[in-house]
Amino acid sequence: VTSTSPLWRQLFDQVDGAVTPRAEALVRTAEFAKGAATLVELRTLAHANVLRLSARFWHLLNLPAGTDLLKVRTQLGALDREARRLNVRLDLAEQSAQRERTGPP
Amino acid sequence: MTSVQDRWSRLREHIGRNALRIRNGVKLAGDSTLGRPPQVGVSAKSVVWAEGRAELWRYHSQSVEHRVPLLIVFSLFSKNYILDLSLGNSFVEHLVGAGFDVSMLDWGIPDERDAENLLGDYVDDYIPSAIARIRGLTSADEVNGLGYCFGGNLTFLHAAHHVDSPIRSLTVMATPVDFTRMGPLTDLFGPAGLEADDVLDDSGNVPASVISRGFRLLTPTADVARVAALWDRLWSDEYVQGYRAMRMWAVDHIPFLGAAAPESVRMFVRENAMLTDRLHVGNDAVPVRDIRVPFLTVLAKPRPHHPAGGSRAADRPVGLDRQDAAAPRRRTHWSGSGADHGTHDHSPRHRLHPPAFRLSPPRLDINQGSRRDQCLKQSSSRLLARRSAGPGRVRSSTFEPTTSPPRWSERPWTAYPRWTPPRSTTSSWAVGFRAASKDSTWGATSPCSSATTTCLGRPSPATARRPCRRPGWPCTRSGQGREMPTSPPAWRR
Repeated sequence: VTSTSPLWRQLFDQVDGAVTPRAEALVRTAEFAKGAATLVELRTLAHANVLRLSARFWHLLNLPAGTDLLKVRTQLGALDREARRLNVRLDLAEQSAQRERTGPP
Repeated sequence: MTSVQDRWSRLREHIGRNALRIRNGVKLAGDSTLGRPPQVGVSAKSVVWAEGRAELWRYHSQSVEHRVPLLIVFSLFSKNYILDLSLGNSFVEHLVGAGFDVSMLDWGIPDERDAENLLGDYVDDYIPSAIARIRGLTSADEVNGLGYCFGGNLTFLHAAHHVDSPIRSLTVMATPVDFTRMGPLTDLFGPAGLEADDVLDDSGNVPASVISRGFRLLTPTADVARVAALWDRLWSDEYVQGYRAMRMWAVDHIPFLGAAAPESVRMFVRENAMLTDRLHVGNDAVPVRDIRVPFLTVLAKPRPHHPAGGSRAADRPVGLDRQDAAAPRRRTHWSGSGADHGTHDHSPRHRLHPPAFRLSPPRLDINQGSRRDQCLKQSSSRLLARRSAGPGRVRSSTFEPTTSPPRWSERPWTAYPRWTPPRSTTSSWAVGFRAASKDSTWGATSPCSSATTTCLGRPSPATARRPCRRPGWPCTRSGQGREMPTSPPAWRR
């Protein structure tokens, strides 16, 4: 910060210079990481429980739940990936064969 | 009298700037309210290959001067318009203007169909396909690879897994290597023991919001500082334009692949495999030292998304054989800050040479569109240009070593020897050089331009014996890609 900076900016930079290293040090502590990880795990657990209860309700009505659709989407995604990989590899093999026939470009 | 005039001119400047602040503030608020995003990624390009969400873009060029095309592999975490931010402030635009045939591999936005993708899909399938497509379009034997951020890790893996891949040189920019120094983003999965599966959303991917929050944690006070900086510079149209584009990009992440997340956490974070050389692709171990192509690391620091130290050892493990003094291959470590010059291995066993020279340039941020940004782009493209020109796989040195110590110079790309191997058992040597201090195009001095190079050794005997895992590289495929408008599609903005 140059001396020509406005006063508010100089004050801000001073506060920022004092606070930022402490804040960055805080988020880099193991305790912070463990706390954040625990929060994420609790949230995941709560979400999973809600999904399970919801699925039980819909299954009582003999209807598919959102989790069932997720499973189907996941399986479709896996199939899509396999198809894509096969497509890519076929392309590569085809080009390789063509190269062998015609020689290098 | 002078004092009165000074006060009057200062008052006028103050009033003028505040008027501009009000104008730009209203404009900024209006654009934000109306949802008008800044124009980014505007360089003209065509889609020449697509598979799934991945697309290969080839940028239009009036005149290609370098015969080896350049393939940019982007990160899996963010959108690639950071390299093509706006007209006049675009890395891609500069490369195209410098005579490169530039292509970029864009991964698109993953959805549930990509949740099962592994890193091997990209390393073994997509990147080779993109290379094959470029070779087919350009009739070039080889391509130059440039990986940005995590794209650098992908190109690392590709080059190590496919030792005969037709890559002429490999450049990585801002690529994280030492993941233990990446801060809270990786601490959650390392010491804290969080599993990647815990953060997956309904699509099976790691949501973009989680990634965005993780990056913001790296600099917890950055939002406040950014607002203060914005108010301070709100009068500048150029700053506001850059701010809007950067602000959008900084929160514009894409979901990370659900199946690749545990793989990445295990390999990169917990095993720190880039440093410990325990990289795997599928079931194959891929020693990074197998990378035998000319290698360049470009760092710019500090970046909020790359804490200091995260990238600095990028060139350390790459194919270095210290017993071979005659090896012609070389690697280059290029950094935008004086503190990062030299090779960053502090252990005596790995120390190759002392830092080339110490400079104390201002902070370099390639994303700010500053003069230093320009010199980074300028110098990077020159390094790439040297690698693209001329016949032969390995370009011999274009430096002209002298006996002078490194010093500031106005001469373009003048090289200085700065270290002599003390014993014959050590093969590493280094050359420090400076980029052009004056350039007619950019018209600016280049305080940040400096680099060191060291020899790359011959491949280890094990490497030499190891057969290619992907024999029979493809060659050509005819056909033109479909044209793409110069402005990005709506979903990409």
